[in-house]
Amino acid sequence: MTTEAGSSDDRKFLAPSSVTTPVARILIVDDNTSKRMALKAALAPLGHVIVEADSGVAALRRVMEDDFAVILMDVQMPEMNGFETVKLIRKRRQAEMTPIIFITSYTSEEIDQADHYAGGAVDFIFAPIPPPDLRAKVSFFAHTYLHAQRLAAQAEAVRMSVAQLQALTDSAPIGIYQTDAEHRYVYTNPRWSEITGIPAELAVGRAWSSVIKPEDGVCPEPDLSMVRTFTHRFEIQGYAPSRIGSITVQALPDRDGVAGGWVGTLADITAVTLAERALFEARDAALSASALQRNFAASASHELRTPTASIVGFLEEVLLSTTIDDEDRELLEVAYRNAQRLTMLIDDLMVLDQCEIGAPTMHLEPTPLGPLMERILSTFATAAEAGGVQLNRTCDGAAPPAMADPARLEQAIMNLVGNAIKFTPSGGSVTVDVSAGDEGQVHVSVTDTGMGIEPDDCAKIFERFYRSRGATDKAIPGSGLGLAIAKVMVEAQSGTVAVTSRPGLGSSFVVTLPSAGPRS
Amino acid sequence: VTIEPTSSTILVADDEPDIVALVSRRLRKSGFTVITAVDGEDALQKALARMPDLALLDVMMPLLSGVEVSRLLRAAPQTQAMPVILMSAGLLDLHIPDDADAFIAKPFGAFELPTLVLEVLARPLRRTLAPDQPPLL
Repeated sequence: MTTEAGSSDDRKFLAPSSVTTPVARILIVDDNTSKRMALKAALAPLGHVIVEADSGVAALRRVMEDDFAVILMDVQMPEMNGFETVKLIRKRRQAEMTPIIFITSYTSEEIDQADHYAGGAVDFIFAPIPPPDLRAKVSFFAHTYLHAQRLAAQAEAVRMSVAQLQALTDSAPIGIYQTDAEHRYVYTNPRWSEITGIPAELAVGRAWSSVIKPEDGVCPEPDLSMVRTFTHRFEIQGYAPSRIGSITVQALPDRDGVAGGWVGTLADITAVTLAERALFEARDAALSASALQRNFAASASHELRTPTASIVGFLEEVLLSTTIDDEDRELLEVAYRNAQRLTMLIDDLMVLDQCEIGAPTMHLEPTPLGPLMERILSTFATAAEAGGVQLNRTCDGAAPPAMADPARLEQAIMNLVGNAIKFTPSGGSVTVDVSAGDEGQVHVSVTDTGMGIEPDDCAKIFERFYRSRGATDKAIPGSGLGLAIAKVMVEAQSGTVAVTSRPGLGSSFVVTLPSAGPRS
Repeated sequence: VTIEPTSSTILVADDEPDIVALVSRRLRKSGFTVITAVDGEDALQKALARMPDLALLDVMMPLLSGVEVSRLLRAAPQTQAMPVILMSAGLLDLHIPDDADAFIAKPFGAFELPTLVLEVLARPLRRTLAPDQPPLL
């Protein structure tokens, strides 16, 4: 019967042997056993459950126990005839609507039909009846009954899912509401009332705008023809404490596809919004503070360099003169040296400040390190020779270029090399080495055979203005900014500077930078 | 090509009179003829009217910055090829704008500036106006 399983309900009813056919119960009431047997046999092909009762009393009992699609009732029975039985059956609530067909041998004239129809009969069958006629009538009532059953089951399912939805919206942690086409509340859930402070019974039936006033005074009632969904943030005022809410609304299309109302969610975003605001304010304050600092440093440096340029320049002019005596020249040279020192100090501070702004001011590009080191060492050739320090350069041929700002990297390495030469006594050496590091890295090391750095000092030498004990003890000149500059410059290029030292034997500074390509 | 210093006129523009005095003194001692200007607009006018061989412009000047003057000189047909050196007391100008030929940071040594000026003057002319190119200004 699989071919009929998917066919219409009517077909299924006419297919009694199908296992999927819904089954109705039919009650046959007759005191005559053989007549009951005959009816049962006639109805058997319909496949319904046949229940028998041999008297009116038995019929009443069956009706109380079960629900029947149709009852076939013999009129002539001893003790309680069919009509009397029906009157009593109709009093049972369960069976007040059950169709009842009387089976009788009386002719229609003999029965006051109007009376009996009023008494609950739906039909009369006059015996003897051809089995197909009987089946047709009974089948119709069974069909109707089953159809009604199905509708009732569907109604129950709908009722259940409505109850489930209700339970869901009642417990939802977000405000949920529905409005009609005129924006009057139809439904609000408990969370909605919690957020707004308005009980559901006060909200329902009232207009959107009369319950919640948006902070900007503009009620976001959308043009129904234009909008399907919208989101709006607003302040819920007039209730203490005032809340910030966010609604998202969606049109509920009715049968014609026109918005017949709206469903919306209301979220309490007070905490999030306040946190956001605080964050933005903090960020703006930090940004303007940093911009202020940047401008201050730039203008301070500019303002300081302009007069020092005059001082240095004019001192130079005087020193070029041949008419000043030696004592005056000596004094002027002290002034000149200090003016230059001041200039360098201003430069260093400016550079340090620029680097602290960090990566944005760096111009990173693939930078081959070999030529850069060569240039740096040639700059120091004279100074090294004067100090009796030997300069060496080694380079691992496989070292890739660094991803760096060439000018800034040059200054950082120059500071390290200058420092190394300064702290290396005559007869010592300074070695600059370039080597490939781990994958994606390249190293530049500056190693000297100088006085070395005490372990305590190693951690502090990169601090601004910090001067090691060795430097101050031996009165080696310096501002204490050179290493600090080297460090911030390298770090602004995503690199690192590390130092290892053995007091009395020398120090090694290793700069590690991201490489700009694979090992060659 | 050797440039005879005496044959060259240099425009020096800076709003700091002391710097103008220092720079002028040095250039004159090196044999250059010097014209001075006190701000950007003054510099532009004098450059157009007197056609110096080179303009030495301070970056931060009132009315027009050195960078702006440089750009305007490039846009005028008669000064399009005029060499420009920018000078500044700020380190932020480490990267030379395309319009300038060189940059020098203040303070500078006694011989540094005349040497740079001579070097820039000795360069072959960087720009030539294409015959069919309309004037930009």
